Amino acid sequence: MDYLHYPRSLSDLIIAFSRLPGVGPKTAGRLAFFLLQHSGEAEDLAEAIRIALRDIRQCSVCGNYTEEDPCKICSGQGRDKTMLCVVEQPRDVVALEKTGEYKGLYHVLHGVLSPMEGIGPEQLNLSPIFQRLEGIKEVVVAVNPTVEGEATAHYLSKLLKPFGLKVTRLAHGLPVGGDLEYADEVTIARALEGRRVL
Amino acid sequence: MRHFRNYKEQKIEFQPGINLLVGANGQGKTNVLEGVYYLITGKSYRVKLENELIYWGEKNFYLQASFHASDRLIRLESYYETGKKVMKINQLASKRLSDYVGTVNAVFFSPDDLHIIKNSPQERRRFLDLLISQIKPGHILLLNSYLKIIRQKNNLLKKEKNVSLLRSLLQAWNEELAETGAKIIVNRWHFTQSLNQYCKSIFKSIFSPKDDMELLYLGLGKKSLEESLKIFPELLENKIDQEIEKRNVLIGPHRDDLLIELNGRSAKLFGSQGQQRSLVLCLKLAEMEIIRREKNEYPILLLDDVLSELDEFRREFLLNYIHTAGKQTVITMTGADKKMIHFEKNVFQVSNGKIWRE
Ligand SMILES: Nc1ncnc2c1ncn2[C@@H]1O[C@H](COP(=O)(O)OP(=O)(O)O)[C@@H](O)[C@H]1O
Ligand SMILES: [Mg+2]
Ligand SMILES: [Zn+2]
Repeated sequence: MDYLHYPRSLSDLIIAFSRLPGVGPKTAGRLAFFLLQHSGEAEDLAEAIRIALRDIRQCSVCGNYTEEDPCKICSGQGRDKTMLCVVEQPRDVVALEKTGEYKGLYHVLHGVLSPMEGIGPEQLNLSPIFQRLEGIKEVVVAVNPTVEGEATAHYLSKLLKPFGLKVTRLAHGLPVGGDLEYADEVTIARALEGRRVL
Repeated sequence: MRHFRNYKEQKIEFQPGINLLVGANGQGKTNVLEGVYYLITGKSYRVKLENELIYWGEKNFYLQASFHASDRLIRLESYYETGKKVMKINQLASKRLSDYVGTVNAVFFSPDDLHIIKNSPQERRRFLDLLISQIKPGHILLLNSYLKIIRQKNNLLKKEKNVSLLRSLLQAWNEELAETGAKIIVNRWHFTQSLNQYCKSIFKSIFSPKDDMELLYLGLGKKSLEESLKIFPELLENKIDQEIEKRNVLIGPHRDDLLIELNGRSAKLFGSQGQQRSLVLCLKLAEMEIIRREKNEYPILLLDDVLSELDEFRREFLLNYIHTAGKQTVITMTGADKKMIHFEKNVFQVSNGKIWRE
């Protein structure tokens, strides 16, 4: 990109956009020009970002994003306080909540172990879990079934072992309503491994 | 083929049965086989980077062929431009290589394949993994995951300074390594069994009735599958101290080997050049038979410059073997060797990047 041809502040804006996930230099340029032409939208966006940054923090108990601390789930009545579900990201909490099936508590790691990216247990919201185990009967490890997710699950379950809790892992399997033929071979193989008697 | 190697634009209509590509050295015979193989497997067996396949000075290459496979016509297409690789089956782009491979099958045999016997274990693992991937595409995904685990574990060993933390993190990665690694060992072990079965009978009945050959997959250095799988977790645990000291991953199926024995001795160390040649040929023919068994159809056989390397007896056997089952085969050779083939054949002349039917 020939940023040199733009005024300094405009090229700064384009560069800022292009640092966002999924935004390439072309889209970044398009977004920047759009905002310059639509100052109303631009002000709204700036304000929304400013407020979100000001008001949203991580819950001091579970690590999920929240405006009040502790978050609604942690302080909520009617949650099953004997179950704790460990997830990678705040958006995983949303996914599980949408099912309406899970009524327990959450713990958000904000990532998984990845030595290549310099992410160890210290970089994750991991050790606070052990201050939360009183009254918990089951920990559900719901990290994604990637290589890094699996290693994180192994690490966590080893640390949880001395507490004598039930530690479970989400079953891997086929997406419901997904076609068998579109699932990759490893997913199908895992679903086969985890098959149940009918 | 368009802008592929030394071909600007070329069309060939291979016939059922034996096809000969005849020409002097450096004319482009091997390049044709490479093109066919690339189209079928998504990989060149010669180079890692697609850039080298592009006609010098051009920006892209394009390959396309129609195959009669199973009971239908399958059109494969593949092109490459500035780092972007597209593979299509019947005009539909494949998202992943594992979706693509195995649609059409081929077995490639070149004099370089002697490396399978002579070189490091890596060559033998590669031979096995390529064969398995053609039949179980999931094997590619397993290998990718495994590679990632090894990379992560190596990074961990190099970066983490706190030894007790390092130890417990290693244990976590080891569990994952053991799980994925075991699946790779199982696949390789089973395919070695099948290969062995075919190899033994081909070798004995045709090449060398007096001699016995044997293939053994050495999973973690052990000869039986049960043993390898049983000791795996323990072995990983026991190696941790040494791995911490060396700051490197020391065990796993990425270090396994396929042992090729002749009369109870390593063919790599004790086999003559001639015996080693026969053994590689056996491996390739066994590969063909496994693919036929799994796909109910012979793969296309690509033979690069191999006839002149074989003595008359083995050459006749090979040609007879190809001819009787009616396998489609493309054989490259220089003009002088053409006389050696008494079977019905279709001859294509190759000269300086141009091909025509004789
Ligand atoms: N990317 C390329 N572009 C153009 N020519 C190439 C390219 N790669 C190799 N060649 C040429 O192809 C010829 C080798 O072709 P090859 O098929 O190996 O010959 P042979 O007939 O001996 O098997 C050489 O003349 C080489 O210069
Ligand atoms: Mg050649
Ligand atoms: Zn909370």
